[in-house]
Amino acid sequence: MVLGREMGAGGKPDDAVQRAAAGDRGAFEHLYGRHVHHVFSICVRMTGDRQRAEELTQDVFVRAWEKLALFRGESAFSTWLHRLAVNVIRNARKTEGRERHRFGSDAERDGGDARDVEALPQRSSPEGGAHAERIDLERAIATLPPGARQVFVLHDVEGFTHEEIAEMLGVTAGGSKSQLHRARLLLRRRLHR
Amino acid sequence: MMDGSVSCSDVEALLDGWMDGTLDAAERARVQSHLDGCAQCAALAGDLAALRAQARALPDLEAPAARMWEGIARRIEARVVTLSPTPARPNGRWRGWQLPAAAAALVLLTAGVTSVATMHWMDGQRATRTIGGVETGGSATFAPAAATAAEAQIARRASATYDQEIARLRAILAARRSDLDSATVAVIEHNLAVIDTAIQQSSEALARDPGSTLLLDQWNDARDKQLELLRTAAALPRRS
Repeated sequence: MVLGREMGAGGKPDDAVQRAAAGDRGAFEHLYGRHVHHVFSICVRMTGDRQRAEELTQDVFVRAWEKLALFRGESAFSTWLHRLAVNVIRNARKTEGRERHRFGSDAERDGGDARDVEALPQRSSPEGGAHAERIDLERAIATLPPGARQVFVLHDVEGFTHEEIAEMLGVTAGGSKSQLHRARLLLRRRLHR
Repeated sequence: MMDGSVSCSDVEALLDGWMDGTLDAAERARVQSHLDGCAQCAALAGDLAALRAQARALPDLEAPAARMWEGIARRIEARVVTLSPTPARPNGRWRGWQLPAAAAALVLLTAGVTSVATMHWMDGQRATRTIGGVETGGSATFAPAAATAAEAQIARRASATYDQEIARLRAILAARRSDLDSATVAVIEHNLAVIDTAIQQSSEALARDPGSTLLLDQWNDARDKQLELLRTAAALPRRS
């Protein structure tokens, strides 16, 4: 089996992925340290729920540990891991969607499942600046409707194509484009541009 | 505002493609011409382009990495720590708290193993369209095939581990028979027999038609049901 190798510092391939795939816990913890912040960011931005994102991030890495032996290196490990994260989030949403349907919740219909926007970072001062703008954008993303939010995060933040998003989310490329358009216009309005 | 044949609403609909570079040359020229003459649309385009640039530059959020790793490590380690035999069992009986804990730990292990076994089988299936069979516990059991000897070894090991852990769950259930209501035990055993039959039939059908994803799904579903029922049964409270 050909295992993928991430490029380490200095452009040299490191074998942490290969060692982790062989069951080396230390190597896996090293990979965790390298990727956890990005996976967590994907989970927070796609769910709009920081606490849920912590649970999902843990699920992602447990799944990664279980499936690592199957990673063939056809893409970068980071790409494989990020796709796995999207898959875990999507499956969790499907399960939670069934629960909401069963109990008659209308959270989705009412504009999103973002439950703790207030838990996101607050501006430390009323002045502008790049940091304040980033915080405003994070908070605005969290208030988007779920479909629009997920596509926006995957396309504009993560850089996936509509075709890739369609495959990952189980939608059409046209549907992805439509959601992105909606998300961008909503964000512009919410950011008072 | 109109600009030739392109309206503001037309331009708004085309702006995503304009920003993402997916318009053809003629469309792009029409949009650009409109933007050059329409301040309102030009402002919208500028805002959206700035928004996209800002989104692309968002830094990673700070994760509570240490706290989350503790949870991950527990879940990974649980699959190893709780698998050893339990010689400390007094008088050959399980303590009340041990049974649910052991059942839960075994579920964690077997859920992972099922996934690994299936994925290896799927990989091997795509590559070779072959299937192997081994004898386990006196019955023909479906065994995942794999593309390489190494993968086959992993798949066999995963499948064998699954069988081993199912056997352990069955042992837990057997040890608890006297703790449970006899009618409940009868229902559980009847349902397990039905599931066993379904697994056996799926295995035999897969041996004849190894390329069928439908059969593979049924095989997986049956094993999942077996696992779920055993877990539930092993963790049932004592009869009152």
